[in-house]
Amino acid sequence: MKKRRSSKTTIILYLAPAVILFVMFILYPVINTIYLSFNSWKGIYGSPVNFVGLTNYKQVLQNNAFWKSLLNSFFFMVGGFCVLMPLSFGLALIITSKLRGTKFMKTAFFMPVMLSTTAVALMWVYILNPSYGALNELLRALHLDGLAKDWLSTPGLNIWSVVLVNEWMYAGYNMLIFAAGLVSIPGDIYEAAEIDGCTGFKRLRYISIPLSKESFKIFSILCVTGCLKAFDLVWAMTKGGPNHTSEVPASLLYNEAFTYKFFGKSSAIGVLLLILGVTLSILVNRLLRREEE
Amino acid sequence: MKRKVLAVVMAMSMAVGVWPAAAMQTEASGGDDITITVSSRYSNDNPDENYFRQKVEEFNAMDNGITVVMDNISTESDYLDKLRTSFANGDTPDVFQEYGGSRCLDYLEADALVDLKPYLDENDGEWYNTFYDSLWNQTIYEGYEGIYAVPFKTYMVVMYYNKDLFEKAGIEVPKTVDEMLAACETFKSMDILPFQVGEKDNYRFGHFNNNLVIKTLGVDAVDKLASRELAYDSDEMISTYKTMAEMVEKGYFGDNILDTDSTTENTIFKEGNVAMHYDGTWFIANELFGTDFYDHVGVAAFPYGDESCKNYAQGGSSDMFFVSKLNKSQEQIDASIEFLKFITSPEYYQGLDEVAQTIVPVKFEKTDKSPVNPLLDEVNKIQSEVVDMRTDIQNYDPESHMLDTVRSALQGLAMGNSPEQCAEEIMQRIQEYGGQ
Repeated sequence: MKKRRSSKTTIILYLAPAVILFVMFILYPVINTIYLSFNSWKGIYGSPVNFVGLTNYKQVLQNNAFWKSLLNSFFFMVGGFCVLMPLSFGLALIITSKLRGTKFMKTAFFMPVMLSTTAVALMWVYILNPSYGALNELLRALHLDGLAKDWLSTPGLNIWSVVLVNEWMYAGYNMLIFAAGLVSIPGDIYEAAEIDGCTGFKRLRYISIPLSKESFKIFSILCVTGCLKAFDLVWAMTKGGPNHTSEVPASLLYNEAFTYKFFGKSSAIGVLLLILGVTLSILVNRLLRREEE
Repeated sequence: MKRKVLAVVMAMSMAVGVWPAAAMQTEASGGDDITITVSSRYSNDNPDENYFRQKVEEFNAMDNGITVVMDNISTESDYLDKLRTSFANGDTPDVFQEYGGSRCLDYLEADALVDLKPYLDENDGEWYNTFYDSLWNQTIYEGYEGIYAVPFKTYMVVMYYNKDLFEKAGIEVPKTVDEMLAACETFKSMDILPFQVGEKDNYRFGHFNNNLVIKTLGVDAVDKLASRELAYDSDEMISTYKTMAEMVEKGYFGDNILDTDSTTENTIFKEGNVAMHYDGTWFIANELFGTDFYDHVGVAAFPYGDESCKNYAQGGSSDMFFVSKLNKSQEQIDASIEFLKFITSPEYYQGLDEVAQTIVPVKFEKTDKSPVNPLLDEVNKIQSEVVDMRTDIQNYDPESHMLDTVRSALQGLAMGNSPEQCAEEIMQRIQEYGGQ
């Protein structure tokens, strides 16, 4: 009896740090955000918090800026699936191949992941500067002046510039996910396929891609949820501007709270994002599970 | 047994992690010295801001039982974000720099600011009387008794111009908006940039619009906008956006204005490639004085759109210091006042005048060390003709989001939005945020 009690104490003590951290940094903020989303608060410690019911949600859903920011998040997803996924998979194929210098390539491709987001953002802000940026200079040198644009200030173009920088930055990270899948494919299968005449592109189509299904699943879930909460790169590159054109839900949430001091409304955006993120994750999971069955 | 020991060690390590924070708290509140935090944007390497930091160090060296810890962040948006966050979590600086107006109204409504009037009135208003009377109107709020800030800097927006380029073009410095547009056209035809605006910092268009409104529609328009008697989508206001939209379209504001920040804007003007540059009077001390370019610059009043408004200007107290009482002890508040008295003393401004001359909010006597500064003399001459001033128009608005709302909408003009779109965006935001 005594032993069982002491084992219970041990379990509690082992669990306590994780539970305390989870409650402090995840559960409490989530509950507090849900509470604030039904209230109006000016964001000043001790100032009154007034219950407003569903008003914040109504205003957020009627706000064009919110839908525009969601559209920008959708662009992140499109970029994720159309650019990042093939790019990362391609890089994974290179580093798992028998080519020379794969060790160097591994480091080189992974380098952007090791840099801080702010450093990457600043570097690209300079590269994309319309007056003296390297990209426009290069285009001008190639006599392609017409293609030299104001990459971060032109509405429509600025969000895609950030999306592509995002893909450049995370290609190395996702490359590792795909590489892990590729190296786990048994060599016998490739050998058997080779005997049957399945080489080159066929080998990729009928062996590598189908057997990397798990990696594609992981990528899909990470991509969908990651795109919804994109913030740091957007903030460091454009701050959601000019005039909110590159706003994503997380930067909108930040601006509503810290620029306009509408913490209730900002919390409502947070809750909507949470619901959307969970729903999309479940949907993607189900979709992939159904395919499996 | 081993497991049990490990569990206890882990639990203890959690507790130990919290210990230093608790210990620091005790030390801060238990010692004899009072430590106060002062937040400002004065982290740049220019004579004015270097002087501020030097004086704070001098204050700390006085051994008066008060230690000032500076928290200086230069970029306006970053500074304001940090300040707002500190108000949300209750860990505010003791003294902070802000620009007054409606943006600080929320702090006042939440009873987070110290009423400075009792301190200013001490000894027959000794401290109060060191300031120019006209500046107090920006530190008081309708419906609230008291004074909630002390002016630290004053300014007026004027038009700086490159004398060489005007001579080359053979034209007069514009006095009216129409003359300014004509001058822009002349410079454009000569392949010279009329302006190079750094609208990446969206206060630049904000200031331009302030001047168009104040010097075309008059100072009354500012009050009418605040009371909504004059709408932001009225024909009068749309005409001001229209002027700006046309200037964007014709390239008068320069190239890549959304990718240019105000620092780059200053640099380009100082390189001598731009004909005109509108800015606050701080520009002389921070950017021109002591440079080779100083003699190539002239200064004039910002052009007026209507003759009846030619003696109005955008100006007044720019930077002000507020004292927070959120979670502060009386000792901390008293220490904050002591510090404020030090940095707003005539001696402070006397010393400042020797290193960075500008127009200031406090009366003081110049010393022999004050350098000759013809540009500042010219500014003083322009100011002597001004009969009324207003700072940023939205500072007088009852809704605290308006300054950011209008600046953001004006930034849309730089992207090619129409004047009507700009007006619509402001009105939509007013409607959206109304009653919050």
